[in-house]
Amino acid sequence: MNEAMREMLQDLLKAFGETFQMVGISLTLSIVIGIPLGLLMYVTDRGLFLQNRFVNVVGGILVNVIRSVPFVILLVLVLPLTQRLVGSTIGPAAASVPLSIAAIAFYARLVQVSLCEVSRGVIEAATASGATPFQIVIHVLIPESLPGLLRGLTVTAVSLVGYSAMAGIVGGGGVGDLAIRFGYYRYETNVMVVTVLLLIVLVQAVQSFGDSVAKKVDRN
Amino acid sequence: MINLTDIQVRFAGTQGTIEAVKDVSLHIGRQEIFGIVGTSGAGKSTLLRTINLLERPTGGSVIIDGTDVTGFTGVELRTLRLRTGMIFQQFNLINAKSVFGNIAFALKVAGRTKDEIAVRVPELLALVGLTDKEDAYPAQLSGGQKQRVGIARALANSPQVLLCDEPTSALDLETTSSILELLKEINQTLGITIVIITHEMAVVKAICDRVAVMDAGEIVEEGAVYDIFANPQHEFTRQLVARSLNLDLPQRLREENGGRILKLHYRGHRAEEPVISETIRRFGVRVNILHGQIEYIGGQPLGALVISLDGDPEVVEHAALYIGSQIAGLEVVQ
Repeated sequence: MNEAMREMLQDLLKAFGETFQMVGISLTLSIVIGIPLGLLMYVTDRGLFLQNRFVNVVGGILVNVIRSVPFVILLVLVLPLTQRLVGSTIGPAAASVPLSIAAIAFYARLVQVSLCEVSRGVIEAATASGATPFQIVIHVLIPESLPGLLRGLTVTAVSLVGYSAMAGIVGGGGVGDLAIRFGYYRYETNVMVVTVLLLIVLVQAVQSFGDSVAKKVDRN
Repeated sequence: MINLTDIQVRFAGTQGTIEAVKDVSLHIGRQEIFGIVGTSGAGKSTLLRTINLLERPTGGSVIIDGTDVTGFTGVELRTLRLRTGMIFQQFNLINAKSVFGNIAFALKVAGRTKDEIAVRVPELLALVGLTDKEDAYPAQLSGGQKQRVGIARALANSPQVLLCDEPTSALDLETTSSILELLKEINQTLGITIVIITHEMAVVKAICDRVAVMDAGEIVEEGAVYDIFANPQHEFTRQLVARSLNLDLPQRLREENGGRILKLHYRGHRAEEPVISETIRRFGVRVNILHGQIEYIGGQPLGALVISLDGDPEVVEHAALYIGSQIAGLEVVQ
């Protein structure tokens, strides 16, 4: 019993480590690439200061295509790319490739939605002050939408925890994978229950943390 | 200072093109407070935005200080906007930034250094009377205070022109007059040309030197504020003026009054003569004041008084003639 417990604990620790790695990489990339992409889709929209129908439509279609492919399919679909980027198609790093692609598209859309909430009047006032598009992005759009950007990031993080469970299919590991392998394939219900409970705690913690940070920066 | 020549703004809408501004020409003089008044949808907001090219006219030209700026883009355009402040009905402050941050933003845009900003912001806050609110966020301010921040931001880079888009329409009466006073003070002490659009004649009366009346995309009348109020030419202007000077008598009063009811119009310096007491003294008629309103626009009186005259019919007739000869206009109501 003691032996089994220790073994389970070790499995869990490893799985959590893998989950954090996958979620961490994808979340970082969705900030680095998703925010600029969302911004680009927003500022090229009709009536905005960098209105550009071509960029806007292409960006929108790209995001929609990625978002409409079921994640399990995306996982398999990008295997050649994963091989080229990571040098392997197995493991958490490899699973991070499709996860990042999905997360970037997802978060870019959430960024765009948050930006739409920024009052056009405030943007107009900044334009009237003589601000450049870059200054408007840095000093108006991002600060004004920051609470929304953070809430979107929280939603993305929680979704990533869910998506990462499917990474097991390509040997990505992680907590979700653990639950499926032990709980589903090996009928070890107790392992499954423990992992699911831990996942609930993890999601809850991420959500609470995200909410509290968003609230802190919200000046309305 | 500002010359608008044949300005035309057309929007391509879903139901064909909409002509928001039709061939408008205006000249706004240096250090003048110029009002553009009209009902909502008259195109005044669009017209105002052509001055700093937030709205690029589809025809005509915008000339500021002798330079045609209509085609300005890039750096030229931004430099023009630095010299042209603007305030808004909804204030349009950056909610995520403090009062200091909002004003600092306008200075940063102009390339000022941190040290310069640290000196300039308190100066501006003192000017608008908000010295103690430097660290407050817009959500913690009242409407009037937000507009003061808006004014401070607009004045940050010492512009020559201040464009005001319905600056008091979201404010209560008391706050409105304090903001208008501030604008007037700014105009006088800093010598800034102010263009203000509004749907409230009271705003025009309070601060403007000259006014243009706009209806359906066109300027229907333009002139000194006093003349527009005292002697409106266009039907639309008459309606606007009449609405701001309401002298209707209740039906009951008309019925109960047996005598003659007269409406005395006051314009210019003759309004200051003691017509009523002189009438009573000369003709011995009974005078009863029923209604009246006299205001001073740019120091000149304008208004009307509704009175009833009672007494021997022949004497009343003479008295009425006498009054008519002493004032700007006489209307027999009954």
